[in-house]
Amino acid sequence: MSGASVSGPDIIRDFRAQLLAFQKMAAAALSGRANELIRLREWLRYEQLPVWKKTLVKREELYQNAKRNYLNAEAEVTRAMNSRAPGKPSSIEERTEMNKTKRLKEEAEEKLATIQGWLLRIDREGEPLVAACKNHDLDLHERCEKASHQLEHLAERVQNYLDVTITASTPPPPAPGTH
Amino acid sequence: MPGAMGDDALLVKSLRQLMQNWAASESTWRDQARADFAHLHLLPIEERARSAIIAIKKIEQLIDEVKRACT
Repeated sequence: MSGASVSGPDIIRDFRAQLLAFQKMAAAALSGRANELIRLREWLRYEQLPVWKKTLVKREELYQNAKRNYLNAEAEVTRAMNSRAPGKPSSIEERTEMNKTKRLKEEAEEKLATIQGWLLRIDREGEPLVAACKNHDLDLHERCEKASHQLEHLAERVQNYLDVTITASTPPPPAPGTH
Repeated sequence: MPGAMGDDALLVKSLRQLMQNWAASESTWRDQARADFAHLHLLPIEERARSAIIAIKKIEQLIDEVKRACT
């Protein structure tokens, strides 16, 4: 290479340090995000899913009770109307309660379906991404290690050259290339 | 949850800085060894880092979507 030169080993060592810092940052980001997704999946599977399954069972029970109460109230109202005797005038309260518990039950069903859907999606889309992050991390680590060794080797060659030229009594010429 | 700047954006910035520093070092280090290093080591690292950034971005998007939907 014509006009080849290198000012000293520090420029090479500085870049080596920057490269290693970059690799460290990339590794932290890659493993951090992959682990976060894994933790999120565990949280959904082992905390949220059982909680919402239990909630749905409870809410289903509450809804069935409220529905029974409403039907009983309706029957009482009808009976009272038919017998023209004083009795329960309305079943509005029971119907309101039934609708409320129905909404809560449907909300739990939706939540459960959402969690199950996301668990499937994480398995389908997240797993390959986690694997990709691990591969990128390993590959970058390996490549940066090799590059770092090469830079250190080049820096040593420049250092050795400068040591030799300084030891010699003649004034040192500009350092040639590292190659 | 990524903050104002996600990990992907931080890595993009960091990679850009690394490559700028490399370019700047040419004024004080210019020889065949440098060209070989770039060809054999640095450019493959840059390429792999770009793929890693894409993977991080996708995983961040997935995490955000799950959090929005399930919390």
